[in-house]
Amino acid sequence: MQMDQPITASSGKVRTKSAHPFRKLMKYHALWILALPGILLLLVNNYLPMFGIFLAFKSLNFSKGIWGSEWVGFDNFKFLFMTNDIWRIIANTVLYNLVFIVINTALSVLLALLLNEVKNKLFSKFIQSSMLLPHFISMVVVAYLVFGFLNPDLGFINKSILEPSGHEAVSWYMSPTYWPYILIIVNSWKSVGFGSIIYLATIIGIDKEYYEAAMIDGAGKWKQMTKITVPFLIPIMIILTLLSIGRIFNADFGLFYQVTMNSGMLKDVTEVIDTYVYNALLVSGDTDLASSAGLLQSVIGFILVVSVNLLVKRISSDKALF
Amino acid sequence: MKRVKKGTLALSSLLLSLSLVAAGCSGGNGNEAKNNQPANDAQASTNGEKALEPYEVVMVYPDGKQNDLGVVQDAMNDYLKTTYPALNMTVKLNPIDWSAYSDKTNLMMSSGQKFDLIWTANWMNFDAQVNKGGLLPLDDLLSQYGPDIEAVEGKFHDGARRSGKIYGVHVHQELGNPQGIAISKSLVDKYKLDLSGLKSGEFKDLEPILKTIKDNEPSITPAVGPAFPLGAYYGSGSTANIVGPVGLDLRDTDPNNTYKVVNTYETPRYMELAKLTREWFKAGYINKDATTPGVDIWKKFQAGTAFAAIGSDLDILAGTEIGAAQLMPSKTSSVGSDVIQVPLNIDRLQTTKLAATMQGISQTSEDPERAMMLLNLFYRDAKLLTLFNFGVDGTHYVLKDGQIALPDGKTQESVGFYHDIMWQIGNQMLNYTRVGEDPNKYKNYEEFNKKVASNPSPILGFVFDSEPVKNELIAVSKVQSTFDPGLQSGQLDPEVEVPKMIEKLKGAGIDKIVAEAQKQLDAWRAANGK
Repeated sequence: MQMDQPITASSGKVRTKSAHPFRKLMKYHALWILALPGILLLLVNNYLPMFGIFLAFKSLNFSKGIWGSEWVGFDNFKFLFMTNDIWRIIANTVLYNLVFIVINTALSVLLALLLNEVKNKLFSKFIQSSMLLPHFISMVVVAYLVFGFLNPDLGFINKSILEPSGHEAVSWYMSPTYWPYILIIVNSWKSVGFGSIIYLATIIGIDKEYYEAAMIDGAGKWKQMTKITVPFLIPIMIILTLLSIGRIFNADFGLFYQVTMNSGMLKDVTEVIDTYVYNALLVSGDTDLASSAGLLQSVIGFILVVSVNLLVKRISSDKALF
Repeated sequence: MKRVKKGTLALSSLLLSLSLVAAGCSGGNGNEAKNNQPANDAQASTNGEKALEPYEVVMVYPDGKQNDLGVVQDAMNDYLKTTYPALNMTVKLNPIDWSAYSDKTNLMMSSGQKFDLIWTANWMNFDAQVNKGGLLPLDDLLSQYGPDIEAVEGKFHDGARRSGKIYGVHVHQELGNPQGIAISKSLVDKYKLDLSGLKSGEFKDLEPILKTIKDNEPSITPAVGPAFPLGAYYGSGSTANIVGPVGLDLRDTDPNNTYKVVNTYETPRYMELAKLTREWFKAGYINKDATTPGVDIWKKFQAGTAFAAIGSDLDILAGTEIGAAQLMPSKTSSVGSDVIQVPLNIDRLQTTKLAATMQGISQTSEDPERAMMLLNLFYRDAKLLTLFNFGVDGTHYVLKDGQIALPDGKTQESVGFYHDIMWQIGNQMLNYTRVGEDPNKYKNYEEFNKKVASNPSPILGFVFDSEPVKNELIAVSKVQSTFDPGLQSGQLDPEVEVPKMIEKLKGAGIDKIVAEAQKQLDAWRAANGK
C-alpha cells in the first residue's frame, strides 16, 4: 500500500530525498532503532544460513570440513526423484496449499466481516481471543486433540456420534478417503483466527465517512460490504496470498506428520515433500539431502513469488507487492 | 487507499511483520535441548612424573535429565584418580536427551566440537557417521589399549566393520532375542489350554488356542499387537536380512540358493504368514486397532481384554528355548498378573545385531588413545560401571542381597540419579541386577548367547555398503511404510496387495538393490572363502 507512494509523489521531491541519504537516515533514526532488532533477527535467522546453500551440492565429510568436502553436483537431489510417487507428493503439497490459501482467505475475510458487525465489545473481544488461541497451540498437541476425536476405540466421533446413531465405527487412521477433509478442517481451525484479525485491523481502519456517504446514497449493509469493505481488503489479501504462494512447496510439517500420526496407510493422500524428506532422513541419516530439498523448495518458492507478483502488477500495478 | 488510517496501516504491517518473524523463527531449529552439565574443574594432576598429560574424556550418550549428574561425575573422577592415577584422566558426562540426540550429535560432528566417546548404533546414523568421517577407525587403538574389550567382544567386531576397519565397539550384552507369544496365565488355566503344540515353532499351531478364546470369551481379543507374525517373527526366523527388505531366504532349501539375494516380500514364507494373519484378522482373532498409533497392548492385558501378544520380544530366562512355556517375569510385574511366554523363534547370530549398540570415538577427539583406555575400563572395572549405571553407593542406591535397590524413602524420581542405560556401554555381564530382576539375569544371558552364537547366519560378518543404492533405499522404505502396517495387521488382503506392493517396490528400484547386494555378497564370499 505504502510502497506505491514514492512513485506517485512528484519526481522532484524524490530527487531531493535521495540526494541526502544520510540526512534521511538521521531524520528517521528513531524508526531505524525500532526496526533494528527485527532486522538483526531477520539477518541472523534468514540471511546468515543462506551462506550454507552450497552444502546442497557437496557431500559433507566431517573430517574434511565444509571447505574440504567433495563437490557432487546434483547428486543430493536424486533421491527426491527416485520414488515414482514424487509427482503425487508434489501434487499433494501444492494442491493442499492452494486449497488452504483459498479456504483460509475466504473464511478469514468472512469472519472479519462478521466480527466487525458484532457491536458488543466484550463479546467481540472474547470471540477474537478464542479464535486466536489455536494459532498458539503446538501441532503435537493438536495431533492429540484430533486423536481424541478419531481414536477408533475411544474417540469422540466413533463413541459419541457414529455408534449411538447406529453407524459403523470408522478406523480413521486407516481410511485415506477422509483425510483431505480432516486436514483442511484442522488447518482452517488453526489458522483462520489469526488471519481474520489481520483483516479486522484493516476494516477498523477504513474511514467511516465512506459508509456515511454510502448510507446517504441509500446503500444497504450488503452494498456497503461488497462495495466498500471488500475493495479495501483486496490489497492486503493479495499481499498475504503472495506470501503464502512463496511457501507453496513447503508443507506444514506438523500438520502432515503429527496430525496423521505418520500413519502408513494414509500416505497416498497425506504424503507431502516435507514428510517425505523427513522419512528419507530417518532412513539414510544423510543431512545433505535435507539441504538439497530445502534449496529446491526455496528456489521454486522464490520463482513463484516473483512471477505471481509480475502477474498482479500487469493486472493492477499498484496492488503488487514490489 | 490513502484514506486508510495511518494507525491501522501501522497495526496491520506490524501484524504482518510479526507473522513473518514468527515464520522465520519456526523455520529455524527449535531443538535446543540443554545438556545439564555442571561446570567441572578438570582435576589437574600435581604429580609431575606421570608420562601422560591430564586429559578430560567427554562422553556423549542419550539419557534423560539427572539432577545428580555432577555428583556422579565427581565420584567417577575421584575413583579414576585414586584407582588409575597412571592414566591421569577425568571424565565429563555429556548426556543428550533422546529426542534431540540424533540432531545434536550430528551438529556436534559437523561443527567439529571436541568430544571423545559417543554412543552410536546402526539405527542411530552409525553408517552416516562413518561415511561422513565423523568416527575414527579403532583397529590399532583396540589392539593396543583394549585388551579387556577384545577378551569379550573380540569375535564380534564384524557388525561395526566398514571397508575393513572397525568404527565402533559393541556393548557386551545379549547377542539376540527370543521372539514368540506372551499369554495370560489365568486363561490358560481356565480352559486348560495345551501349549505343547507350539514346540513346532509355528505360529499356525496357535490357531486352535485362539479359537477357544474367541468362542468362549466374547469380550477378550485373542491376539493383540502391533507386532504380528509378519512383524517381529518373519524377518529373523525366515530370512537373513542384508538391507531393508533385501536378504537371503533361509527357508529355501535348494543348496544352490544358499547365497541367493532376494526381495524377501517375494518369498513363499512371507505370503504364507501374510495369509495366516489375514485369516486371523477376518476370523476376529486380531485387534482392529493394531495399526493405530500409540496402542499399548500391555494396557489391554492389564484391563483383562487381551489373551495373547504375538510376535513380541521375550525375556531371556534360564532354559529359554523354542516351545518352552515359562513365566515371563518382566511382563508379569508390569502387568500385575501372571504372563506366560512361549518362544517360537530364537535369533540367529546376525551382523546387524552386533551394531545395534556401540561406542565410537569421535574424529574430533584430541586424545583417542585415552578415550580407548577409558572405554576399556568399562569392560573390566565393575566399580566404574556401577558408578556410571547406578550412581553413588548409599546416595543413589543400596545393595540388598547383592542387588541394586533404591535407598529407603526414595523413588526413581527423587533419588537424583536413576537410569537404565546399562546397554549403552561396557561389559553388561559385570553389572548388578536390580531388585525384582532375576539375580541370574546375566548368567542367563551368557547361556543364551552360547545358543545364539551356535546358530550363526550364513552371512555373519558381511556388511552391506548402502552408499551406491542409498536413493533406492529411501524410495523402497517409502513403499514399505505404506504397505507394512496394513499387511502386518491383516487389514489388507495379501493376495491383492502384495503383488501391488512388489510392483511398487520394483518401481522404486528394489532390483537394483538386490543386484548390488548380490554383487557385494559374492565379493565377500570370494574374499572369505565361503
